[in-house]
Amino acid sequence: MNASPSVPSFDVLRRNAWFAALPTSLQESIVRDSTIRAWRRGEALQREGEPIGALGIVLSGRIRCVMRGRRDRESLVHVGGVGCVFGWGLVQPDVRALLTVTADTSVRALVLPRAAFERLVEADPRNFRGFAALPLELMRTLFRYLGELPGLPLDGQLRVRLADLAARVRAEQRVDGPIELVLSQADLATMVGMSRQRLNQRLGELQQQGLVHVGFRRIVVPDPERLRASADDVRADVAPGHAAPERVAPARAAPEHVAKRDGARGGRDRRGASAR
Amino acid sequence: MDAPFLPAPYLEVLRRNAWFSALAPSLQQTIVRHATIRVWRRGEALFREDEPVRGLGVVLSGRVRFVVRHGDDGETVAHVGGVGCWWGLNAPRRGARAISTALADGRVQAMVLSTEALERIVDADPLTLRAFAELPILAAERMTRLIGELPGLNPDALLRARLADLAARTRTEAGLQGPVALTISQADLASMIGLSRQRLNQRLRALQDEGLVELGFRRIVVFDPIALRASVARSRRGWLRDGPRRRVPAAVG
Repeated sequence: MNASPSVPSFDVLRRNAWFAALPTSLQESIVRDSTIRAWRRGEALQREGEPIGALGIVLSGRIRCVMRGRRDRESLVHVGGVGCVFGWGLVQPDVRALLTVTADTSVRALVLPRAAFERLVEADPRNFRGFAALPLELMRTLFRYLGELPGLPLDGQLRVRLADLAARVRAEQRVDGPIELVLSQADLATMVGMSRQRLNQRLGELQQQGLVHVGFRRIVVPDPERLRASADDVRADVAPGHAAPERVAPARAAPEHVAKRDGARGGRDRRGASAR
Repeated sequence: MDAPFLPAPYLEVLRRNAWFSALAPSLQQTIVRHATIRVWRRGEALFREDEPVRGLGVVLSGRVRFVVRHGDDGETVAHVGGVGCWWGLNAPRRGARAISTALADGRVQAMVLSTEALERIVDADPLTLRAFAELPILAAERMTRLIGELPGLNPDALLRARLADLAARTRTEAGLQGPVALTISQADLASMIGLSRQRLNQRLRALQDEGLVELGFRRIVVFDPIALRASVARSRRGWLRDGPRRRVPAAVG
């Protein structure tokens, strides 16, 4: 891992909705007190359970956020690209990382160490408000996502997850129009609990409906809100007295990757990931 | 905490709440001094989704249902909170809007710190924002964990995970030890999980047969949230091995 004091690309930062909304003086202070660091593919930026040492914004490359969870079963929670913020738990003292974040490619990120963060807050306590916006926004996104899931079959969950990922990229990179998700189908399958085969079928169906365009390690979402709205078309009816169709059983839907994630067979390269 | 204007039972609710009891005594007193006690009748909305957030509140008695809209006319129950449950966690964010609709599920009494009062407290001492930010951080952590667990969870495992989370949350909110009584209707729980009431009832009875819960009228007693949580992995394995048609995958896992 290398450290460099060079000035980051302000353009990437200004495109990030959270950073762009900060007072200019705080933006400048963050850039001044941060460093640019680089990681090679597979290296950990942060590890689950360890103290959170820094807040980071991805300037180039891609990161994977993985949670080991209970009984050492790893779950891929998020794959983030340029503008993705990690280490938001830094805003609280004595907080340990909930996720492991690893470099999925070579990664460069702007990194604000905890000590620098504390100095900024000490110098002007009002600065804390800007940092607190990160978990507040995350809570809003997660709550909406979890509120939509009940009654959704896997197909609907896929639509909501893709719409959320696209909306997040839009906020992180201030992209107008269609949004390109740089994401492998293997990773997406893990995130929604489907086999790759089924995922591929369902993505094909979404493409036929004009809701996504599928390419190699890329999924383009032309209109995230339209994609999200389409999830209700496949929602199960769980009104009292109705026999709601249960979600597709993972054993039938995803034998290969679930078996690997559950452990004993190993086989898959478990690149860590750790961010909060 | 010395707050003679707050009835003793309500002070006890606050003392038992994990977040509030960890605050500096001076901030506890400031919050109580600036807050008001409000009452809602059954079915009344404490706030509605997308409306500006009007304050940070905590249930002192009764129960609140948090409902999320989706599509044109659909809605799901996202959470049912009892004594010690906080809402309006994004109140410290200027211009924040409510992310759900909260409905009184019976008569509800709550302590509410208005956004204006909260702003005054933060303006007087900006570092108090750190304490207020802890609530959404804890919530985001809880939700991130759940999202990490969701992929591949069958409905039985999802029910176990959700019940265990509700019980653990109730423990920290109400300061309970031992078995946790969740006062939640099966209709609401069915909506939270995405199951029909009939199927939910079948699955709850299976959990009761395993000795993990006890069912009553509008209440589910979770004997040990950690044991219930541990059964999620067994349910997952049983499901993977035997498929969805087994009624009690965890019992054989």
